[in-house]
Amino acid sequence: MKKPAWNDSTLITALKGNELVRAKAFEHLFANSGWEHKTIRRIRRLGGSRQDGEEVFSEALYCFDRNIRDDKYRGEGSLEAYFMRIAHNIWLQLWQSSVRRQRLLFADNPDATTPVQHAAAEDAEIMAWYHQEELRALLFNTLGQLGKNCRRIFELTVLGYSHQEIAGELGLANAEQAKKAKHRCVESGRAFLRDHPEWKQFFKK
Amino acid sequence: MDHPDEALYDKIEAYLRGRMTAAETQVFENEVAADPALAEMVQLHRFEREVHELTVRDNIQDQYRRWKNRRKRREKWLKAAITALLLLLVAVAICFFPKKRQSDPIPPAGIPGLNPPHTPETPSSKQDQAAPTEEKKSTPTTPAQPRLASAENLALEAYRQTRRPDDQQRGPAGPAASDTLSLEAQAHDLFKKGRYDEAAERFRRLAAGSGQPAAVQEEMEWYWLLSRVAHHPQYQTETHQIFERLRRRGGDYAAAAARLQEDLSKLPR
Repeated sequence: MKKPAWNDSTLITALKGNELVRAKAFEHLFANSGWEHKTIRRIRRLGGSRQDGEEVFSEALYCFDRNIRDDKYRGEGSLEAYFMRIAHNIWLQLWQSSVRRQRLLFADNPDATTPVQHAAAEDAEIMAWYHQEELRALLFNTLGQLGKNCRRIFELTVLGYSHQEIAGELGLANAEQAKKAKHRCVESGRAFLRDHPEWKQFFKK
Repeated sequence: MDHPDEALYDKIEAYLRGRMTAAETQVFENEVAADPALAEMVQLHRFEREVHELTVRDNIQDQYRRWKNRRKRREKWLKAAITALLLLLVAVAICFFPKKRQSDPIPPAGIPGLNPPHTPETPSSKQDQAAPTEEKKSTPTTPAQPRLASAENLALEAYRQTRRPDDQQRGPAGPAASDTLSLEAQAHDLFKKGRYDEAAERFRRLAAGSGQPAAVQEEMEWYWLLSRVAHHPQYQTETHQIFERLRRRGGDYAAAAARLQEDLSKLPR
């Protein structure tokens, strides 16, 4: 089987395609693009460890993929430069959140030697981080409530599969059945969220 | 919200994915602004999208983890292969080089400068020779350390085999006894230090000394001979005469002297 010659255009097409071509695109990004090595090197230069570098690479890959799928990449500069910018920003966010976490820990510990400044701005930052962590936990909890089939349906929906394609993937008779199955899943997810109205506060901030 | 309209669901989905035209977007945003229930539904949908995105995120991270594990396994095998190769190379080197060394020609014994030098001053050898044991006396034929034949080595070997631990305890009785014993001890000491000429001179005086028992005289002659043999063939005439005397006496040292003479004759000239 002939290997695809990867360039920015083929990569974008593959990431917007079905799961099979997406898997090939990711295999290329992991093994042959050299992006992982470059990301780790940059993170180490910025004071992180190799493990930090791998974590950032993995997270950046998801953000990159999502931006490509949502057509947020406007074609300014190469994909590699775009990816490295995403990785750089993720590292800064992680670094900032670790600093905030440190402050929060010190705030909780009255015996800490470092004085804690209870400036309003800092408190707001800490609360923002805290809510973000809480949001993530709620997202994961909601996801945990969904059955395997529902998770698969939502994954395919997010990847842009049509109802007909979803039916084909799940072995359903037609698009109509896929649509009904998806709405059943939506309902079951919403039933959980109805019991956990705290999701609303994240949109109030 | 309890019974979501599928058409509304798709509409919100299209809005959040940016798949509406500008006009459609404007109309929809006006509807959302006017209807708090619809606004909440859009927010809920947005939240759900985040949940659904987590499945994709998990999938990508899972793929990356699996790829990393595959890479680790590959690296492990590669390391094992390199280690095995290195071990094989070392084994080949060990097997090959000693064979080559064995095939090197052994230099003929007795060639000056090639024989291992005698080091009588080293503490271990000195201790070995100065403190003979009963074991050495009872087994004089114990195979010695293999060494290349030379006159000096033959003399040392003969000395080691014939030197008795109680030699220093015997001597002539009388006032001159302590002087004689001191001279003998001095001679042995010089011999052990490799100062054979000085030792030979002292052994000669002891052998010629009057009032010595015949056995002691013979013994002193034997050590005198060994001191001279160490510098064989420099003192060939003198050693020949001592060999003759010992042979004529037919005492304890006659056989040893004959053996030594035979060994000396076998040395390459």
